[in-house]
Amino acid sequence: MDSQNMQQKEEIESLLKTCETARDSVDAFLRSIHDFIAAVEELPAVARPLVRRDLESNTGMRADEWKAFLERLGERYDAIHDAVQRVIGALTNEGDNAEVAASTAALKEVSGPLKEGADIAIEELETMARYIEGLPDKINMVPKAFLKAEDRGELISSMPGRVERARALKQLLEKTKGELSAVT
Amino acid sequence: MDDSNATISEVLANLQSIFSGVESLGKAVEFGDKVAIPIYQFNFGTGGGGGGGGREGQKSTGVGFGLAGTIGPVAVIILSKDTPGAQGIQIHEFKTNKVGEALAELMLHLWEMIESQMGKRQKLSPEKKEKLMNI
Repeated sequence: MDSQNMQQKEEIESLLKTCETARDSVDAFLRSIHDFIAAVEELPAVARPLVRRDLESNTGMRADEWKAFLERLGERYDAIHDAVQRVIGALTNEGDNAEVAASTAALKEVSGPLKEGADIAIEELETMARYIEGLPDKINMVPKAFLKAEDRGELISSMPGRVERARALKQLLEKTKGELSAVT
Repeated sequence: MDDSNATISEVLANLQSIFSGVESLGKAVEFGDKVAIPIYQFNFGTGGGGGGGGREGQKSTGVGFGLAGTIGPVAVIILSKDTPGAQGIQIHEFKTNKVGEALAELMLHLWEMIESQMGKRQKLSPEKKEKLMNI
């Protein structure tokens, strides 16, 4: 294996690890969205449409759209992960340059939509993180008659973890975009 | 029915006239520079009845009455602390007196006030949303 292929292999192996971490991060944030959907369902009927509307008006997407986006992102990471493994296989087996080039081209094709939408996704995840950060203040402004003290405390205490999940995924998207640009 | 029943009927009639349709201000809720005051309406219904008779030589009477009512929000007054005079007062009437609908209306107003203080709304263009959904 020549030095150029060695460097490519190192870069692509780093991308593989990033994809695996990002996939876990997508799942973790998806769980936060599922928790949100379940929590909204538990709210009184009069409060449900208001909370749903609040999420949409502040992040630009409804909870079901966030869910669909994250599921799609997870599938994209799976596809990129598979393509990366094929490139690693071609490099490891010291296949001819044509095999390496073909697997790299396949990786470029499969990662195209992620590279194209990454900036918007990064922006949206930051918007979501800021929205979650502001929720404790908003929850504290809800009159006591509409939200029990224990529910209020539970909701507020769950927010920091959700902010971290959103920001972690955002950073991994930034990293993935950079690493993809280097190898494709 | 003796005089006591007549007296009770008068009292009930007076109670009904006093309470029915009375509107009352609820507890004020402050949101930054705004104060929301719900208005509740009380609707009371009353009923009374009496009885007489009993065994020979014994006077027996029975009297009963009931009082039932509903309370529901009918409107909300919103006061802007920074806007002096009549311009700082808004009254939002609810279309019906059903409690659930009225509460939803009340919460909507309160939520809009909260939103207005927590920052601008986020707009996501259809093009951007499509890219996210096809990522």
